[in-house]
Amino acid sequence: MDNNPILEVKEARKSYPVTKGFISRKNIGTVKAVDNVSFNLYKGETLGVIGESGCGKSTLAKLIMGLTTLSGGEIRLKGEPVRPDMPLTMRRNIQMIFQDPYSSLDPRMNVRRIVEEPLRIHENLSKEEKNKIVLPIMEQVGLSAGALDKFPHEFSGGQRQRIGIARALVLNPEVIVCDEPVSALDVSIQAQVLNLFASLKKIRGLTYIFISHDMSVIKHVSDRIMVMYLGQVMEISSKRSLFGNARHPYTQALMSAIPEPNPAAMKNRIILKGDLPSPIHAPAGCPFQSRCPQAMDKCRIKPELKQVGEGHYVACHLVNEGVVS
Amino acid sequence: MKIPPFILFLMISFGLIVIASMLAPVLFPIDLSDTELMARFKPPRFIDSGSEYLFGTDSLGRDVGIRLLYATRTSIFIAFAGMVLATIFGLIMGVLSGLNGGLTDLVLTFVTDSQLSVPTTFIGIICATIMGSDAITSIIVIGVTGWPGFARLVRSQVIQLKEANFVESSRSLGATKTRIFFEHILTNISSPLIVYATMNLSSFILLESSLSYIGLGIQPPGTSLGVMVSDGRNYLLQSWWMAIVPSVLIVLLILQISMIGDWLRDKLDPKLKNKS
Amino acid sequence: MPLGERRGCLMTRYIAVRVCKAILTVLFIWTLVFVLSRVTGDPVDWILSEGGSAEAIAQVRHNLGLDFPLWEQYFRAFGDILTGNAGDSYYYARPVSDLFGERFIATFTLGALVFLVTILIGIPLGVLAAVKHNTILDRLTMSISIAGYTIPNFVLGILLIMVFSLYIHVLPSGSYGTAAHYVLPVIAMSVGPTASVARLTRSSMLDVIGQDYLESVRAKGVNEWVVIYKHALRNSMIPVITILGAQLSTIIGGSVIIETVFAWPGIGSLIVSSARQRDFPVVQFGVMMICFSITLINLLVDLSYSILDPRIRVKS
Repeated sequence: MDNNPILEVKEARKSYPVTKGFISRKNIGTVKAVDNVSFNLYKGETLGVIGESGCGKSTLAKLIMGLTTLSGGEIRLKGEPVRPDMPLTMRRNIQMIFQDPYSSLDPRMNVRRIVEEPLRIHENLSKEEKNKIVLPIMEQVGLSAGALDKFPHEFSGGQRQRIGIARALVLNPEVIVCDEPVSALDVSIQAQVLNLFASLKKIRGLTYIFISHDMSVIKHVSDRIMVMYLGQVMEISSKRSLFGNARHPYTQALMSAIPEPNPAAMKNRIILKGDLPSPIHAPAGCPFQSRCPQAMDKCRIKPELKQVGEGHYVACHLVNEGVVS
Repeated sequence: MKIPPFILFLMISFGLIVIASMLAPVLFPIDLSDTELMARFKPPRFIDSGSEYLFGTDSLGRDVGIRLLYATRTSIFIAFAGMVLATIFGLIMGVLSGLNGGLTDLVLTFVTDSQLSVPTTFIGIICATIMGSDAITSIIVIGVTGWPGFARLVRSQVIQLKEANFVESSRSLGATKTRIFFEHILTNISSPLIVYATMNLSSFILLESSLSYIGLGIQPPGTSLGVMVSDGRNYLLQSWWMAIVPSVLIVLLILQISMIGDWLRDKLDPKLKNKS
Repeated sequence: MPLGERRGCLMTRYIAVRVCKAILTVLFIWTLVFVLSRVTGDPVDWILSEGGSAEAIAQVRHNLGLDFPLWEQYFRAFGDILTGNAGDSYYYARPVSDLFGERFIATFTLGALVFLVTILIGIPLGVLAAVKHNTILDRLTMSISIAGYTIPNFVLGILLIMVFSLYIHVLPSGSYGTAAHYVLPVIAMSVGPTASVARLTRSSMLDVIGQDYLESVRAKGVNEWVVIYKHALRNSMIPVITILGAQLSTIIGGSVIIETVFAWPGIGSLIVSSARQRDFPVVQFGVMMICFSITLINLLVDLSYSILDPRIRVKS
């Protein structure tokens, strides 16, 4: 791993105003979808981002893709700031794969037009030149060249996701942001697509940000894992360190939800009470306090991210107390 | 796409009517103002099998069959031109309000709502008073009465599409707004738009013939289906075919177009079913 | 705030918003009519199409209020229409308001009868078709309703005249006077609106009949006809009432044509013949009056609708 991060996220924030009324737009609060998130992404690694739905994972992906403006902080791709108006030369280095393979492909375009769209936007190539780029990629993602003349509705979910992957690869990007790329697929297909991600990483030396709500998927693909809750980072660590020594009660709860082959191990499963609180009424202090089995008075003060091991950071007061081991 | 035989029959018969009426000036090159007073009120062949006129003659001795072709030609042309006008204007307004939202949207919703509180025939009446009665006015009236429906349809489609994942995906690639509009939004709007236009063509034919029936559309010696019915109104007793033959054709056209439109809707855009 | 008071407050606000919208609508239509009549050239040119003496032109200008600045014309003319003082007709050379006054009753009675027929036949027909869903009765009703929207009302009017007045001589073909004179115009005008009300009632009833809460009413052993009349009908009337306003607009629009077909001495035929003569004061007054009445009726429909359906009150 090289020491210069390919992507730097520093104190990134994104908040949306919540308004009420139609003519008199009363501001009744803000939703902090992404709140003070910092991390570095290094070439060749896969950073898994895990959290429940509504925790700001998708907003983070949009920020990284420059699809929406930051409310604060900064994001740099190879040293250049990421913004909605960033130049095309920057955009081609980072591509995204979407969650829903049904709605992320234009139903009126055939596969060729879908896969070649990035080339139309970024380059001005002849038909033969485009074919030279597209055909090998179709093979890499496991689709036949004959698929190019069909329309998205003629494919199954897994195949459509392969089309989405091919589309993300044609510009030969360095970083790919995968926003829940397998959660809309059948479990049997999920494994195939995850293996495809792994093999593409090997062949092309890709760097992934892999967003999911499923800890077993994250465990399968990630080198490092970032745990998010209500827009904030709870814990970030290498996979080995996290699975060996998860420090945050939320991470522990997520890990206990991974199905175990041994039924005896299921006994100490931590089941969280209640739902994710509404982000408009996020509690002051630690966002997790309302559901945390080990909550205490101190949790009304916001905990900072603290280093607890090499590359392992946790935002929890229990770390200081030495209670969590 | 498999077309059921009945719809195919409707399409072919409608196509034949359109082609025959468009070819009228080639097949029967006549001057519409010519009269032949010696041949007044000649019965059609289905009454008197010896008659030399298929659909009889009118009060000025003109061949009802030939005039029928010319009239259909005018009616279809006006309805079609009006439909194109309504589609283009509705498309522009719908896209503007769908993409911009906010104030544009509020204004558009208000304008379409307001317009619905004036019956279409009254829009025709005020336009005819101000601009005079002719083909151009009829086309404008159809455009003016028709566009709000198109604008509403386009607006709701655009609002859905601009949040669609595939549009987001193109934006993440750095596609410009213009490119997204032409490559994704316009192509996805086109099929509901075609369905809606077809379904409305019949009401435009109805509006045109109503206007020309009350004398605020095409003026004599020009003719349209409504003008022919109106001409026949005073001769119902002695030569009823003058009014009935063009009436039957109006009903036939409306029936054909609305059935084809319904079928197209179910085929291409089942979503529309609940909206209309 | 107690719930009752809160609801009252919301209700007042709802009414205020609807009234404002109605006023804006009328102003908007007036602006459109005004702008259209000025943008398309000097009204004097097309009123005096054969040309006229300088005196005549000045007279017309004065009559139309064209000697005022534009913004003043806009408000003056609007005020004149509101007060019913809409100037003289060119063709009849009489005050416009007198012309409308004489013809109002004929048009109003015709329209009211048609509206009554639409409700009294359309709704029961729709209910019957829904209750007897997929029987011959249902098919028949639906076929008639297809005929209702494919046969233009003037064509229907002519057919009726041909059959009932010219061939079997039972009813008069036109003009106005006795009850018999109403029969044919009312039929010709009401078939279209009745058909669409019946169609909507049918589909709305079918939606409601299939719903779970009716199953639970049936499960209690309530008689099927009571289920339909007490429970289903009331709930399925809400969408029907919303389109009654639109139907009224169709009826008023159709009256123009039907009055022409039957030589009915009403406002519709007056406006049509004035439009042919390009008698602008008459047409302008007529269009604005129609616009007022439709807006007013729509407003009343909206308000009664909000009383009928408590969900609306709370939502806005």
